[in-house]
Amino acid sequence: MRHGVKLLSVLALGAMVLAAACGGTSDGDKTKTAAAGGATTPGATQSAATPGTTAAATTAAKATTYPLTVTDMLGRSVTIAAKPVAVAAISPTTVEYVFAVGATSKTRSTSVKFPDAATSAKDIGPSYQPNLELIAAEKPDLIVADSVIQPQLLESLTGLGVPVVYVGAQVFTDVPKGLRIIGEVLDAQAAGELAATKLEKTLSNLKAKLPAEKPTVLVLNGSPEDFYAAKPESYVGDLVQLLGGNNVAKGAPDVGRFPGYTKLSLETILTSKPDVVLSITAGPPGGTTLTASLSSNPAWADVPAVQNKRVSEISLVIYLQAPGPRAGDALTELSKLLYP
Amino acid sequence: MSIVAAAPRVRSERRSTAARTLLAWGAPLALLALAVVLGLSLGAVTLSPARVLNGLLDRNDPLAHTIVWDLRMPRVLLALLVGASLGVAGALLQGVTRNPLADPHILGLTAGGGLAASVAIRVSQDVPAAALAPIAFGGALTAAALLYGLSWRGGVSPVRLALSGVAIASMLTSAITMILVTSNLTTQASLSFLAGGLFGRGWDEFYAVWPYVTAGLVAALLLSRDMNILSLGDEAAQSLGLSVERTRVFAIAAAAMLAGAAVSVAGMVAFVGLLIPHLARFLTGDDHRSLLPLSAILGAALVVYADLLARVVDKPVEIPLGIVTAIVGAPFLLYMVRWRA
Repeated sequence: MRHGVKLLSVLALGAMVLAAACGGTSDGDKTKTAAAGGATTPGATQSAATPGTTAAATTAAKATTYPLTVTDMLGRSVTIAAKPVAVAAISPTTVEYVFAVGATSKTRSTSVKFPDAATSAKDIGPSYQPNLELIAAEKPDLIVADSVIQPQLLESLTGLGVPVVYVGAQVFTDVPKGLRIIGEVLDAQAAGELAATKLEKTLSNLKAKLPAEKPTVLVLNGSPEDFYAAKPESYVGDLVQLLGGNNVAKGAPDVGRFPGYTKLSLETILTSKPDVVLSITAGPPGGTTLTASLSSNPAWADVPAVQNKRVSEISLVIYLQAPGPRAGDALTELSKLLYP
Repeated sequence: MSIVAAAPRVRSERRSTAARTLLAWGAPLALLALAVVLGLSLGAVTLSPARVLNGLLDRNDPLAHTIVWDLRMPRVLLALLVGASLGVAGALLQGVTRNPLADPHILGLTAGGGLAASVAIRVSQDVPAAALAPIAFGGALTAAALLYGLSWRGGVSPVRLALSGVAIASMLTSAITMILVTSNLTTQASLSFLAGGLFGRGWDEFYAVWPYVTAGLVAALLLSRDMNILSLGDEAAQSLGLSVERTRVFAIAAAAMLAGAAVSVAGMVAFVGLLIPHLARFLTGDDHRSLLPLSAILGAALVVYADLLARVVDKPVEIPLGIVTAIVGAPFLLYMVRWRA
């Protein structure tokens, strides 16, 4: 059992190292975004930063009145006495939420590389075991924790005597919801609403343009030796489903440590003939990617996606490690991969 | 003449015995006191001694108070309770089995407690700290009953007890591994304390667990005289009027209570129960009346130091407590085995 936990930490470590590497490769995105003025997707921040332009005009900038009582994404009712000025976001997703509404987090988990401004926040350790002393030392007046990966920290965090708001992103619709909650909590309702509306618009625009013919899709996550298929219940599976992709793993039981993922036999995969294979490789940087390993594996040679060279590597960070405000980028990228 | 010559020798012997007793008790107590001071003073955040004191006394320094009183203090106290529990449980089990390799880890008591705790967490992740302690105690006690039952053949021999224990431990540990690898990520995170660690433990856990530890320690002390008689061998003990089996049952139950309490807050911390009784025996000899309390003090000191290392060595990341106790404990045990041999 100690072996199990060790394995888990080694995997988590691997994921972190990889995340660091992915952060490096997505530098292009980062500079683009920074140039646009800050937090989430370039467009969203721009309009958030300059209210008064088209989209902003439709949204009345409502000020939050404190004390404020909100229902967070664990369904808890949280009361916040005054406008938070020192926010501690403690997971990759929650850090992105806070920056997406134009606010700043004093803390970040080790793997966070986005947005640029977040990298100068205090590193408080891995998101599954954030250092409580370091969080307290930042004297936060609000802690933003992750409702998907950190519910088990609830008792420890509330013990710090600071209000704790939980937000997260298990499915796409969680993201606009989370943005609105954080917008309200941080008295940035206009920015939150804008980012949320922008996301919803991105989705409806993409949906409107979907061709009639939908591809059969397989999304894999893991290493070449051991990988799992994302079901529609997972975050990336939900995005694929929203874009009309027929998920090969639909209806399979949960298998493995990630909820919403399953294990498919090679036979199932071969008979389901996926048109598109998307892979998220977890492992040391520079190692063989799932994409490379599948494409060169003779057993996969008859899979349409392999034959038509439609096996693509997608980012571990935005689809798995930090699902959230960058969902717009994710949807746009996926729509290009599903409908080239 | 002979009387005159003997008198100073008796005096000096008495003085040296007194000095040795002072050393045997004073050194571990000083070590424990230092451990507590360091445990409260050091951590991921650096605080000056003055601020640590302010935090401790709650004098107008809310941050220091949160860090020292709400985060460090309960962890230090829990480490103390866990160490004392494991040290005494180890001493009891080594006495009962008359086997120097016995400890709650090796005989499957912590695995029993760990299995019960992980089943509970697997069923509902919201198990409160107050419920986890009795659940783990129940698991450890069940493992102890299994251990005793399987070793019974018209009486329990120490060798059979040790061998069955090893088998039960590996069986239960496999079951825990099974639960862990078939769990999803969030359940695994809730179970991560089983690797041995006090991450995120606070006052709630302390309040939940101290009654069990206190009860177990008191029971152990009450048994110490009988444990001494038992160590003479079953037949000799019986002829001295001791109910051998009853003493064994009580001692194993007390060890199970202590091991269960420890595992419910700190998971499976290896090596403390094995190492500490040897160290205590080296300092004070085989008399359980001093062996048991000394094991409690030394065990407490070891785990407080180990948790301190776990917190600060690789900060802000915490390394599992069980790994620290093994890394610190193993070479020390080897040294003692060679040195004493």
